[in-house]
Amino acid sequence: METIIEARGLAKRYRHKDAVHDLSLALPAGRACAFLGRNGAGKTTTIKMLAGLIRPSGGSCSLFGRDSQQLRPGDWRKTGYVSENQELYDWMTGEELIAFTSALYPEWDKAFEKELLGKLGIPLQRRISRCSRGEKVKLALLLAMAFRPRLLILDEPFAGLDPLVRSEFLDTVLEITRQNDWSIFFSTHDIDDVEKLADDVVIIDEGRLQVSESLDTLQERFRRIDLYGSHMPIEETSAILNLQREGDHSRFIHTAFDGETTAAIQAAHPQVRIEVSTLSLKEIFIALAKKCQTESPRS
Amino acid sequence: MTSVFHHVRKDLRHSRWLVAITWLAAAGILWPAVTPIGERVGLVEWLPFLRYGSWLLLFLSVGRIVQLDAPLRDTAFHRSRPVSQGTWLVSKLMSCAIVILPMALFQVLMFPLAGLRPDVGDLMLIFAEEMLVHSVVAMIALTLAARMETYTRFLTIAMGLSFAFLIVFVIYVNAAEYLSRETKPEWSYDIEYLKLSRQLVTQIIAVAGLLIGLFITFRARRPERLTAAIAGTTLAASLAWFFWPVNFVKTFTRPEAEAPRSEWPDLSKVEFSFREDRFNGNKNARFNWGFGGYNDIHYQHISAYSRMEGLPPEWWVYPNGYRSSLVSPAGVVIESRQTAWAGLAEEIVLPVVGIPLPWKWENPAPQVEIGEFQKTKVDAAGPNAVLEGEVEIPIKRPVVLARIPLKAGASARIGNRRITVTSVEITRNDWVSYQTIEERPISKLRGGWHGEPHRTLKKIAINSRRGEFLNQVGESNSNHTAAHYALGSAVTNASVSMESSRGDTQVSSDWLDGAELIITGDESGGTFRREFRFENVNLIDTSWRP
Repeated sequence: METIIEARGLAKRYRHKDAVHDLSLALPAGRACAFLGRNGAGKTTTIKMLAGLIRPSGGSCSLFGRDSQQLRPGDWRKTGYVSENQELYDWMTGEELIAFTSALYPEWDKAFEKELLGKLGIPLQRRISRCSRGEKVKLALLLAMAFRPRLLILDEPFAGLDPLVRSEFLDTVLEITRQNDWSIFFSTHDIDDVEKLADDVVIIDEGRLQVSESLDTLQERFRRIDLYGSHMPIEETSAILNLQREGDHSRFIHTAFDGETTAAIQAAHPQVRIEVSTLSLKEIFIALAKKCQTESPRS
Repeated sequence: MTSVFHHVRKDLRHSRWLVAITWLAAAGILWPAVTPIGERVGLVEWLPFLRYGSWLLLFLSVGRIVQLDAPLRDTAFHRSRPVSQGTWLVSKLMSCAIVILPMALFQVLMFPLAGLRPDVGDLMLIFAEEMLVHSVVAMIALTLAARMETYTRFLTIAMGLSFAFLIVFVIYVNAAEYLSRETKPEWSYDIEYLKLSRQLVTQIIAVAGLLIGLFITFRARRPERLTAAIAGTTLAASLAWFFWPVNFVKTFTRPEAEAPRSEWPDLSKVEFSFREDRFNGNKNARFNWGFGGYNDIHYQHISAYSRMEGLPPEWWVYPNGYRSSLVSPAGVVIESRQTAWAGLAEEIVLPVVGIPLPWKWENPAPQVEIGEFQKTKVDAAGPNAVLEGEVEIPIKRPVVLARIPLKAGASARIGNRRITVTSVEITRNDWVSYQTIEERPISKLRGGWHGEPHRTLKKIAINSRRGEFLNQVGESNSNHTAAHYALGSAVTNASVSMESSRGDTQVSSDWLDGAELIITGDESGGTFRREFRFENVNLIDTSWRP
């Protein structure tokens, strides 16, 4: 399968701080990858390096097999990019900016543009500087999608949007990308969005990779386990997170759960009753974030 | 190319108001051109402010155009669009060119609008110079703006650099003044042309260096390296400013006005000799000398008494040039400064317009300049030195270039120039007071202010019916330049010649009836050269003159 995005040992150092450290990831064609992390984890820096907008301090990354620092217009004709603080020519009206941008893309799909306009409800005659943030984001999304890119990079595009707009936005992206088999690499703080949209999840913290796998696999291996009727201490391993005890009740999250995990616990604690429950991505993310926070608390 | 124009349209539309104001400021040069001639003098004083203002606005416009798509700003719209670095650079350069093109055209348009008629060659040179100087401003702004992430930062850095430049400039001026106190340059037109050559080549290097720097850094996709391009270009331009050796301006300057070769006098028939003359009526002397100072350096200049015979009557001797040196008894050679400076008296044109000269001049070269030496070096040379060299005596004749009525509104075009009489009156003390304005285009490649050094225009008021001319009693001049436009205003107070048949200096109330203003120039008829060698020269004892 073709690899659309690839990063190897990617690093970015600002003065005395490592924003990103030795990050490697890959996005195969046709997959949607959610890029998660706490505030300041290095998501935006990583995305900008992937898109060639800033130069890495170390390692390399590529889009469509070409070094991100050497991207050509042809590569950008296949890539739609929307970021939280991306500039639009806000002295133009929406209609003018669409006309200007469409001329840059021979592949611009007029019919698709109209379809997106219908779905997103963008005010065309108003100067962009007078549009709301949601309207600007929707316009940016249209400008990133109407030429039918093979890759869509979205850097927290949902931030600051009201729930209704975000829902519209997400539904549109979801519908269109599923129909067109696009690859998506997006960062967000809203885990619910990820569950709707993502096939794969990459989680970073303090610029270091924590998780990189498919959403299904991740949800498969993370389980909440409740043990009742045991006063024996639970042996803490790297696979156990968030261990809590209350009387004879122990609760923890197992990060490497498989078919044999329950039997192994039962063998070690024959008297206990074991309850295993699945976790939402949000719960997994919070558990991992807490772990990271414990291991390297921020000042 | 279509995509380039696509970006250019967007850039210009974005900055249209600022560009319009820039053009408006640049169009200010047309202001005097559409103003009545008598009112131009006051206006021209303001034009430099408009020019510098238009440069500042050009700087801001280019910065704004570039910063719209700042290559170092990762949030810029174009960064995530199919816009190549080449398209970016060419479109920004083209936008700059479109902004500066009308600014250069205004300068060219100014001349026909003002009623001047420079030839096409001059207009093209002026256009090229204007494009060049505006390109320098635009390229500095473009490079600086391409290096900055935001417009605010661009403005802040530009202000900081301007301040730093000002400080360096003040230090340089003071240091240059201090360091040059001991050395006086040999002044000649060549020095002025070399200065202009250096100015022009510095501008060319600035534009070319920044352009090459931009291409290299954008080709390497490292706009942050522009700092090196700016630094390298600044260094190269500074070196050119101080050390560029080739005087290419001289190539473009106009040749000296010459009479047809067939009319040149036969200089082989001219007899020239050095002689002695009585000095202060008491002693014969070979030389006449005087002292002058410049930058606290005292100079002693020496003329030799001479006699010239056999020059045809319509030809005159122009103040001469020379090359000479003083050789001390010990063999120390002191080179003289070289000067050739002055012009013919305007009265010599009178026979040409039918008025006899009021004086006779049988010896056209009673003295010739032969040297000018630093006083301290003369003293060091001691007595009994040898003064040797060669005098070069330009032979010229006057020509009447224009003859116009002496009344307000009369004007004449002489080549690139126009001379207009703006007012004439008879004053209370029965003198004539008249004001003339001389306008002309200036081109650096033509030598700037010194563009036509060999044809000095002079004016003389006459009344040929009366056979009288006016002696100049006093003149007040003012000169203004605005880039390529020069306006000189002269208010002349003149009385009737003392030597006139009337025998007094007041004009009669009807003197202006039939009065004319004669504009004269000169044309060359060759150069008379003569070597000289004086022995036992004593320039030290200044208590008497040799």
